[in-house]
Amino acid sequence: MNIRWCTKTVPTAISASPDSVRFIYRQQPLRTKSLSGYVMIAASRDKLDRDVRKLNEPVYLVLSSVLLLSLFVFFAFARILSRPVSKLTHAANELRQGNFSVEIDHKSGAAELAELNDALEQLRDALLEARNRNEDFNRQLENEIKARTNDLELTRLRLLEAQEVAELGNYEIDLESGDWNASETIYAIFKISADYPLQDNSWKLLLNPANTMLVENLFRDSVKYGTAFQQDLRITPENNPLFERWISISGKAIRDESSNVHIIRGTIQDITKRKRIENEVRRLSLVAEKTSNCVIITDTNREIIWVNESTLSLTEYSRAEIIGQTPAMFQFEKTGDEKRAYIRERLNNLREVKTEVLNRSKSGKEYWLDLNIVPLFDDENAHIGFMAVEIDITERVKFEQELKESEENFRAILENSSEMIHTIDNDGKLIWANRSWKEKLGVANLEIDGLDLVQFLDGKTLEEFQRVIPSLMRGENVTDLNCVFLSTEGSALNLQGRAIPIYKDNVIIGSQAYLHDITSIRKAENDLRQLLELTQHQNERLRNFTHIVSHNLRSHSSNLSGLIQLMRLEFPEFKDNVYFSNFQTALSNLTDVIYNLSEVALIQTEDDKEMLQIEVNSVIENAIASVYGIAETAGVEIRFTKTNNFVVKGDRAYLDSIVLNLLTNAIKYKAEGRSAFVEISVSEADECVRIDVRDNGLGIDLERQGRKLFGMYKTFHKHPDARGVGLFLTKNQVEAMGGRIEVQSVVDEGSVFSVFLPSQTKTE
Amino acid sequence: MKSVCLIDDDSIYVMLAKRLISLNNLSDTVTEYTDGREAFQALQQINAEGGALPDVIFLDVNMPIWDGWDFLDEFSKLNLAAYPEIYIVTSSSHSLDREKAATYPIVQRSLTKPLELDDLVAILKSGN
Repeated sequence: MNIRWCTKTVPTAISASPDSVRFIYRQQPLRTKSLSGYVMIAASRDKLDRDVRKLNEPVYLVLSSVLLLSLFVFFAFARILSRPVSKLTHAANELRQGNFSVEIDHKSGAAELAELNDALEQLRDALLEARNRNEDFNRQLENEIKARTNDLELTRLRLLEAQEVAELGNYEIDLESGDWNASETIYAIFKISADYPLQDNSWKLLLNPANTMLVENLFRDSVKYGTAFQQDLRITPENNPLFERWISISGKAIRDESSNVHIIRGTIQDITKRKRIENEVRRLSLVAEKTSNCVIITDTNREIIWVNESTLSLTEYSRAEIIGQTPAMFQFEKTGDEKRAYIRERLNNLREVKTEVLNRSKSGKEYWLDLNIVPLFDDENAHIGFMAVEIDITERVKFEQELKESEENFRAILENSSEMIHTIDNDGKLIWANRSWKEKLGVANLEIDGLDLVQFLDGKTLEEFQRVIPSLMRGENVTDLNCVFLSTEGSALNLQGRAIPIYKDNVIIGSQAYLHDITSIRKAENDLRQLLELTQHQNERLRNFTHIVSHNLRSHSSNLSGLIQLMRLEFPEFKDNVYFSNFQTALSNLTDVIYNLSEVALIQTEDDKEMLQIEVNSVIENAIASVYGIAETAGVEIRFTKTNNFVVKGDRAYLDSIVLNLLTNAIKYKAEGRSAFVEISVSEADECVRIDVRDNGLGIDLERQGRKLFGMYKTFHKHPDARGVGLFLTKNQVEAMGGRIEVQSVVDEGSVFSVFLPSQTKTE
Repeated sequence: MKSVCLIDDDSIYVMLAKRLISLNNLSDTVTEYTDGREAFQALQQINAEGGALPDVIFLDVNMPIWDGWDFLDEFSKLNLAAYPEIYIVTSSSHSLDREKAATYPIVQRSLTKPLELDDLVAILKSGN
């Protein structure tokens, strides 16, 4: 007799239906340490029968041989041995009926019968033994099956528990009828009540349309190909859109007895929590992996177990080269022993590290890191390693160093500037001053940091500073700083310059002033001002003097004239006295001189004379008219051709006097022996009106006399009327009108006097 | 015949003016003062006593104590119903003096020393 175990692993579900007619059949899910799945124990009833038959075959064969032999013996010795044969027949019948305990009589027959009896007896014993063995085996098998069944039951219960804990539930859907079934866990997952209808594919309402379609496709494929399926789904049921969950659905189409497939059976697990954690973890790992910061994770021995991409690109090592090493591999001699010791000490005490270090890459490139190392602990607060987050600050450090260098350069420039430069804080305390500042204020050998600026200021400057400080505090520049600083030796420095607010982190922390020493300039200015004041004062005195002199002289000369007039009236006999007539002439000359003097004084003192528009042509015509008489008498022709009506700005009386004077001179100093003429012409020249008075008279030796021509009391001809005042007066009058006078002359040929006066476009 | 008042510190001028007037029989009453204040006080008193003020005053500008302008300032303040004809007489040819004189309504005009006989005749013989 032979029995075989038939075991078969079914991937996810029980797939065979029990056929209790053909098999002795047990199936149980099984989960052990090494394997999981379903155990099917099946014993085929046919096979079992066959095996039993096979076992019994030799017995029947022997038995039938014995029977044939017995029959033969019986028929051969029937007559002789009728009694023993009937006994044998009885024993054989007994044996045939399975009664192995039949008595076999050795003494009842002949010798052959006795042998036959022996053989029969052996056969009986052998049969007995075989039966007993069979019974034992069956008993063992039964026990074994019972034990396995208990195990399976236990496993099933555990599995149910596990399902509940894992939020895993079974379902079964009949695709034909639309009826379906599900375990309690599934009710819990979908939050459906116990009386939820389980017909008409109502399960579809638990999924949204897209998911329903997807699931139906899975079912269809499974039915078509007989394969199992598994799918994660995000479900938002139509009847409850706010209820969002992740589920994992698995299953397989099941074949029934008639090989029809319309049952889907499987499990659904709520994986919302897992999914959320997964998403979170995926995001975090993405961040860690892709961040531009370097992330390095080590175990407790500081051996690197994970690094991100940035670390690889910065250090230029491959992952294989880094994993298992300690981060000390990135350090080198310039990293600094102090820093290394500090990091070691902090890590030994499981304290956070925050520092900046200089490390070196595989190719020798040096880089600065802003390093932050935190010890890592698990849920039980056990130390499990370290995580370092590093930011590459090489550029920043480089920039800072460059900044520092350029700052030093600037400072050197400021330090050596000839300007005086100081920096004060908001309380007016000196922070810094350059060499020039210190030298000029006599504090070259002193520490000025913290000194009060006030001690260097005079009272007025203090007010000035109080004026400008609010502007500086508002962030405005002060460009018109004038101040007086007092040096320690007591000398005062006149300074001029500007001040600007200085910032730190966008907050005004003080101000810087750039001052240059204008003491010598100030002194020169003062000297000049004093000189000017002195000159003005003297001018004023001179003016008064001129005025008084001319006024008083006029009083006296007019009194003298009056007295002589009266004397002549009252004493007519004096008329013929030589002294009296000379006295009269002298007095007349004196009066003229005084008149001229006061005229000149008048021109020079009347600075603010009102300037009017004068028509040049009319002035000339008037002058010609007044000299007409003397010109006629002297036989001098006066030529004047009117052109444009030029207008100048000035004093009418002056211009009258100028033209008259020049005309009179030309007539007065005519040359004898040729027909004399005076020609007047007016033209425009360089925004000026030019009046030329040309004669063919005596002319002037300009080489000898030119310098003195317009001087006072200079006469150049022994003419009876020459008094030497005319040209001096003319020049003064021309200049008082803002013009100039020029002369060209050749002795014995004639002269041209040219007067240039500022033109004034006549307003029509 | 108009009465004349001369206010001037220049004694020669005063003597000449008086001689010119008397020789030409231009006036029979000539009073004289040597500074502005003396003249003002005297004229003020005459006016207060109801006396007759001179018809014509020849006033010098440059004088000690009160000059001609001081006199004019105070004399103007008297607000008389009828003022004498006042002539500023100055040796200065400054137009400033003439311009300043024109600002006093009680001043007729200014004359320049020495006084011309023609001017005197025109002033003293007019309106009679």
